[in-house]
Amino acid sequence: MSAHANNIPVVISGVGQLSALGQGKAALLAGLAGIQKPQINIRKVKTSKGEMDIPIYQAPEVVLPSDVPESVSRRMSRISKMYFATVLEAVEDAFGSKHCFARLDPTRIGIVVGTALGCLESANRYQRRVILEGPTGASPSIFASSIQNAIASHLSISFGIQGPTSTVTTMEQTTIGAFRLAYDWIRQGIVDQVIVTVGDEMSDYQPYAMAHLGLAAPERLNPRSDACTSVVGEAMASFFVSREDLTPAPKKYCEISDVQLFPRECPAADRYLASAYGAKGQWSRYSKWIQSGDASREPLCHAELYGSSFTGSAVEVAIGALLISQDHRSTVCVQMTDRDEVQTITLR
Amino acid sequence: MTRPPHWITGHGCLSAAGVGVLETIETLLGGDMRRASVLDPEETRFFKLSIQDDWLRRFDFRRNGFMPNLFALLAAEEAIASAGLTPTDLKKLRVGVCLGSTVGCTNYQEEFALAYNLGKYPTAEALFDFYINNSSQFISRYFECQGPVQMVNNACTSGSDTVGIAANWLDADLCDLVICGGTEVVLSKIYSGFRSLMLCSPVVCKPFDKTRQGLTLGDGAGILILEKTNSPRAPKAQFLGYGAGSDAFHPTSPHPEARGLQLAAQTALSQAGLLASDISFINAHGTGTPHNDLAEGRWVKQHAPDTRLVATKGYTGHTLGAAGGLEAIFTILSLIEQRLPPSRGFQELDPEIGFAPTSEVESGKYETALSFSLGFGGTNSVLCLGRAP
Repeated sequence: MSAHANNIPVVISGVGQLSALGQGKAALLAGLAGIQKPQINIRKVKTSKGEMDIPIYQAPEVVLPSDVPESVSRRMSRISKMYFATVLEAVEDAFGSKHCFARLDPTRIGIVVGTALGCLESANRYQRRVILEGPTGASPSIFASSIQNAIASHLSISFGIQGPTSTVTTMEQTTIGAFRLAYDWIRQGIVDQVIVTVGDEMSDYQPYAMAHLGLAAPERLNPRSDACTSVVGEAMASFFVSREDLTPAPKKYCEISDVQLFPRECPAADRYLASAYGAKGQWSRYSKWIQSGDASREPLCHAELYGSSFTGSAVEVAIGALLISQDHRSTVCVQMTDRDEVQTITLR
Repeated sequence: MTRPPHWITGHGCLSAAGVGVLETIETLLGGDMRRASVLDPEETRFFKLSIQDDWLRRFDFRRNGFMPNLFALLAAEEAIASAGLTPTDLKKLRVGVCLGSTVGCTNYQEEFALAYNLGKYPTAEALFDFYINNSSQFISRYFECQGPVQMVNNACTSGSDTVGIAANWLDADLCDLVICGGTEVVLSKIYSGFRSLMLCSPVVCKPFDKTRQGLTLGDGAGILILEKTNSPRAPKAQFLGYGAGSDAFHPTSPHPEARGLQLAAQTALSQAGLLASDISFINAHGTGTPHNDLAEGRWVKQHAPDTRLVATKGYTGHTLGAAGGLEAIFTILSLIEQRLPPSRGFQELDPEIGFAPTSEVESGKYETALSFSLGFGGTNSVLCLGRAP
């Protein structure tokens, strides 16, 4: 039997999210319904010309379940806690219990972590101590948690997962690349299930860059505009992705029917979700590409709910999965770089 | 489950073992360590590549990012040329780029961080360097490739993992050809981190030796061109299989019984349709740390006791995210030359490991090989490679 011989159907079985809307997919649904508003904080940034107020979409402090041992949680960086919380939600969503791993073969589960910016806060903390104290300031624990795959490692150790793990860091192309990897692993029969978790944390550097590059304080983020309206955001989404033909059958939000990393044209679907984040001229480029096959297609985007982020497409995929489970309308999520490199994931 | 083989039609590398494949062969099989240099033995005891003036003249750091991108470019250019391709040829094909690194993509802008943390107001333009420090996007855009792009940060297995992903892309017909492998530069703060974990050796590393004291870090890049077997270009070697597995044990130490390595090796062998006993030799990860070499040694002793073992980090240092790509190339060179290099640094048998890696150049009939990579976070990857048909 050769790889891809089976065309195994791949489904999203569980969803978790964390963003300025709050923790949990219920908060995301409430945001979509207009009931919940995102938390937008003001970060004061010092510049050579004085202090500036920079708005940021800030996720709430993560609440980990009480049964996570304190000895474990105190070693986790903030970003690890964020991933951990959303992964637990996705797992519980898929199985009705976060303790499902005891029932599963740990070698048949994989982990794909996607992050555009990595463990920024840990890297900054580690770097700061080395700069201020010299080589002796290097902390082994902070160093270990600053390495990009520390999150995947933490999840693997915490859940006892022994299948392949991978950390994808391709800026705007991170989210859909992460899904492609999981999709290939399952379709090749390497694993039965994959935790896909994608997002980025807020560090001091993003607001600093906004202030110093003169991109600060637009009136509000409007991704469906060609003006520069970026307001940096902190968000992540996790998914429990499974082969569909398992016994018992997994819960199903939608099937991942295709993942394209370099599509020539936009796949046809009932709904198109663009991962725009308020960069200058971005919306026209998304619209043009999505409508190139059919001018009647109407791209949607929800970045005003979670902020500007290179990995915001993960939240759009979560939105796609949640909406399909309600209205059964097929959905294409489109991710585009500033050089028009496009990726798509099709959900049905 | 077996998978279709793919052809490795090009390779390019640079490390302390040599700049380019020819110099590397001279070093590995001729014992010539001209290029290796260990700088500043008191503070930064690692293999640092000497940067050549002409590299700097043709590489615009402002536009192209920092050193891992330069190393990736040099190795990619050699790999593309060795496949008989030109940059113009690449534009006519669907070319994917998948590279791995540990430091690449990480926000280690030293000048910016220094100024920022000292309370000054550095220009935020430096933060854009972070954006362009994605070596995969850089290479793809440099050669104007039309195909998928992915950057992998799986610590020390990154380079091997990119070859596995490249094979997936070919299997799924996402592209005709993939530029894959790894690139790495050792920064002093990375060295400080490894030293804080007490993993650095005070002398050049001695993989599998009884007196080994740790690893020696090193700069490097190793890039391969992977293509389908219907490529018009001649193969240098075959990709036969890839496997990955996790220890689920400890953030910085391998599982003592090599649990993740066993799954990775089993998967790679299964994809190749081979048994461990069919393998001619293994290129070990062999960092020279007590735990790594013991875990790998236990696996080999249990599963492939008659297979020759080679450890090459005595020539290059541990090039972290580049190691998997570099050592895949070293493995290919041994398959081409039908000779195994001595495991530089090894002198004395460790009774706890119970067998010795190569200690001199060995000749033989080598048809298939495994290349092991183990990394922080308990990640393990194995490539199964074969002699060109």
